[in-house]
Amino acid sequence: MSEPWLFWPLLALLGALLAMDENSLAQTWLSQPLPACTLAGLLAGDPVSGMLLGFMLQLVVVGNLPVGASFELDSVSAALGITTGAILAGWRLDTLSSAVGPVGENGLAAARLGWLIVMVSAASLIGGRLVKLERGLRLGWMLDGYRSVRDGDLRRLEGLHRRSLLVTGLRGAVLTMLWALAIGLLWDLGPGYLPATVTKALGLVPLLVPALAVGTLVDRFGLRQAWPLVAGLAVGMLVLIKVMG
Amino acid sequence: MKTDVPTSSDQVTAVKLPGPVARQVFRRSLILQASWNDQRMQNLGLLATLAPLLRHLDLDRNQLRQTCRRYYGFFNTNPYLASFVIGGLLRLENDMASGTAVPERMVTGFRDTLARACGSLGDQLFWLGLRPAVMLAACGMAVFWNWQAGLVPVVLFALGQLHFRRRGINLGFSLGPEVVDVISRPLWHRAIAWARRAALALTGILAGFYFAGLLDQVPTLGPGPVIGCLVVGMGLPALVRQKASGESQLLLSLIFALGLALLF
Repeated sequence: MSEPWLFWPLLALLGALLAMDENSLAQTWLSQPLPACTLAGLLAGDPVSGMLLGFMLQLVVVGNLPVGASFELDSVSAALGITTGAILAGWRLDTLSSAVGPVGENGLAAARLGWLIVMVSAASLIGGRLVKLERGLRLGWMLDGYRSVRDGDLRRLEGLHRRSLLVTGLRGAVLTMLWALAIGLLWDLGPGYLPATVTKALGLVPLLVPALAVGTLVDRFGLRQAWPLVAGLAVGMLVLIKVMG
Repeated sequence: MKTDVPTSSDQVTAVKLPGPVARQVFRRSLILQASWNDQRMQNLGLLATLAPLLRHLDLDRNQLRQTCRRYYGFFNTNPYLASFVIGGLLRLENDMASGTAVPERMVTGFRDTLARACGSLGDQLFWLGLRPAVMLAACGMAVFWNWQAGLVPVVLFALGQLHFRRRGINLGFSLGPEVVDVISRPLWHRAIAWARRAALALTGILAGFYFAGLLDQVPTLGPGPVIGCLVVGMGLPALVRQKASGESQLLLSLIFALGLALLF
């Protein structure tokens, strides 16, 4: 981005808007990992790397049902912050196929991608603790709003509702910045610095993620009406085999 | 009390929310879940959404107190279909303010019944059907075309759902309690079935690409890690059975990845 002074406020704004979009505001799905990471990459100057990491993260969360309090996670801030931080630290990925392989450049690229996926997953679970805390705050405010049942003051209720939305935005902005800074600081401690076995295991993560997504979706939908799955499977294999010659 | 809004005794085609009230209610319906809490879920959000009409109706203090009491209990539904419930409730509130005899039990019964139905339908249609389908389509377009193409399905969904929610409020208000008939149409179940089929087909395509890609990796990686990744990845979700989030499953699979790295 040409104006560096504008970068951090824009990142905070994006973090706030997408954190609100996840559950509180409109739920447009722009806060899903694929579009969120693409937007973060665009802001940091490399939308392709952002999109590729977003693709992997989208497969990780594809089975998460955001119904009620089923999961307390914060995947948006984690995905946004870590994508931005990694790109700022110099991480680049042109294609997914360049991040598969046991050794050499491909192996290291795979391990870096795996490391980022693991970092985002861990950050999402940590951020979930703040989400839980925020829900506790909202419960307190809702009980406070009970006074309006006695005096009929609508403005108090509207104020409490707005406050809840602002706190979600604030959490998103702060956590996004925090994860971006943290990954920038931790970047040099990633693959290459870690023991060879751990680096190799991280390199297997990009291979594990699609299998997890397929397993999760098959588990969600069941196999009672499997014909669309089988048809899609045949089409997918034929297309890719044809493309690869 | 002001009642320039038509009542249910008027022609259905003539029943519309006043423009500024409709716009405010629509904007607020988008943040229905902002104050979601573990105890009463969307209750505060529902009251904040109804507030523009309550203010427009110029209710006295006692009526406002009663309205707040009516809606301060438990309320939870799917956010995309909530607009039908909101529209219907606005109509009932409007009718009550204009002097039509609407029993309070009817209002709460309508709210609870429709919220449950919309919650169930909406969760199946949007979360279990459309979301995986739209996001898998976006993933495919982004990886095999370009990153801009990956945003197209998401933007189309975003615009479509905004239009759908706006229409839901207007329809709910014009039909009042009769909006239940709209929600009970078989069309919804057909839409759910098709969305799930689309999601399954796209899952199949993803699996096809994955298996073909894995076959390509056998000569370089060796069969051990490839088969190991396949077994762990496909087997883990069946073991944890929807109890663990994707992130937790990923971190759990890291243990198996370490085992594979040590073995091969």
